[in-house]
Amino acid sequence: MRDWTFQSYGPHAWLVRFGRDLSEETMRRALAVARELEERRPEAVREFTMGYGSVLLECADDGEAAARWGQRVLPGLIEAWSSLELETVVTRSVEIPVIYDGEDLGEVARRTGLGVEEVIKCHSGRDYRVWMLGFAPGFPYLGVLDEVLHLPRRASPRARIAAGSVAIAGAQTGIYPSESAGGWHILGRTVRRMFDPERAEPFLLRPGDSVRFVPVELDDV
Amino acid sequence: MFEFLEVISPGCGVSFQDAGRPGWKRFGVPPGGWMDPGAAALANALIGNPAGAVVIELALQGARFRVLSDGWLSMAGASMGWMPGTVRKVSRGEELSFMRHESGVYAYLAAPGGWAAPEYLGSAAVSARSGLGSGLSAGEVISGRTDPTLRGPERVARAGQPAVHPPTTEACVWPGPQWIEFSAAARSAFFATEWRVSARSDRMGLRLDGASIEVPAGTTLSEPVLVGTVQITGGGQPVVTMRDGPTVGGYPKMGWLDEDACCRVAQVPPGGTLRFKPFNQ
Repeated sequence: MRDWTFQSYGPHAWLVRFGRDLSEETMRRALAVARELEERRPEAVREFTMGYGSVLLECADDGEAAARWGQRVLPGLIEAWSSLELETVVTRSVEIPVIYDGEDLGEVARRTGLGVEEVIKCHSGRDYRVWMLGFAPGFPYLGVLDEVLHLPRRASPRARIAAGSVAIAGAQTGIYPSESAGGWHILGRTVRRMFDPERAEPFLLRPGDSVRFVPVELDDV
Repeated sequence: MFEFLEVISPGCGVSFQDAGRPGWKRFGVPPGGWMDPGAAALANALIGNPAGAVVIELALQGARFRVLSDGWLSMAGASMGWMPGTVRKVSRGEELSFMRHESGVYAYLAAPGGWAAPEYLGSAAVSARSGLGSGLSAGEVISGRTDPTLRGPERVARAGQPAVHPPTTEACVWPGPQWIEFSAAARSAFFATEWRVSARSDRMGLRLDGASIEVPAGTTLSEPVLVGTVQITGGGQPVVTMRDGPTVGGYPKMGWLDEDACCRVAQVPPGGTLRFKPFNQ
């Protein structure tokens, strides 16, 4: 029996959902589908978008043919793609240098009961997966954060967060690609640019990439 | 590059637009592009441009320009003191003023050959929230790609078709991903209400007032969102995701409007009303 849902979303788009939790398994299956769409996308699929454990596939608006293909062929492909092993699915790993001098570092240390050094060690001590990109072009939602660092969003969001800020909220960590408002706790900043429209590859990260934060001193960059 | 107009005032907003940039949603980039593709296509066709030529999109009212060189301009979409669906010869030194809002929201001004505009990710469509370009500001000089006095042959049968904007716009709604999670009462309230377009609407979303729709219990994890999706916010107010809207969202999604319906609701001005009816599949 199929243990994922396949919903039509208008006549030419389908939303696939593998679960309503943020478990490794749910994420793995969604990312396996993303990986296949990135590498071997069927011509009929014009666009895809990731959510938490979900994938939206959009076909060209060419009437009946797309609708039929989506209903009849797509579910079989999703079933096959989503059962691929994560190890065969994730190939890219990216290191992000971080200067840990964020304005919320002290508060995070206080609220978690860890020292500043321990917060840094904890945040930089594991590999994260890019679950999805959204909110702003190139903003990666990375997980899963060590449970001791889980904090709700700030009660009042900041009106201005600098580009390159590395921040945490809930089970996630992320990097603000451009200056924007936001409610996450800022731990530090990176000089790596998440998004540069002038670059051959405008986006540094893709869904499914493995990411590790590397603490650096201001003098190193 | 042929300098053609100088912006005196952008009014409620003036920006370069084209068909947008599909193919980047998985990186968090909305598709963007003209809010009313039909009107933009008409503006281009009237002046003999290819369908994808860059136009400028004027929002609501208040834009003013100084003409820097003789030439042709066409306009379509909303009516702001210049008959939509017409071509006009303009002269150097003339001032074009779109101060009088008559109907609709978005109007398109096309120049022969299209406007010269910077591209981001393969499109000139400005999506300010995403940091892809910014709206035009006072003092900016904008140029056409060809001599503005040389217009191509008109590609429409009949010009001078004013956009028809009925007093209450009706739009068909397809069921959205969380449709079945809404209560029967919430669904019927959604269709029974005459919704009023809020002044806080923009290229990201059309915000509607008129009733409070009961939202399903529990939270929705952030999920991908299609342009045209009707999300119901925590306060029970519908927001229709428009072309510059976020690619993912966590509000329950009641329904979805197809491109045609989406363009029509985009042209309903603040204070204007609209009604939804279920799509008959």
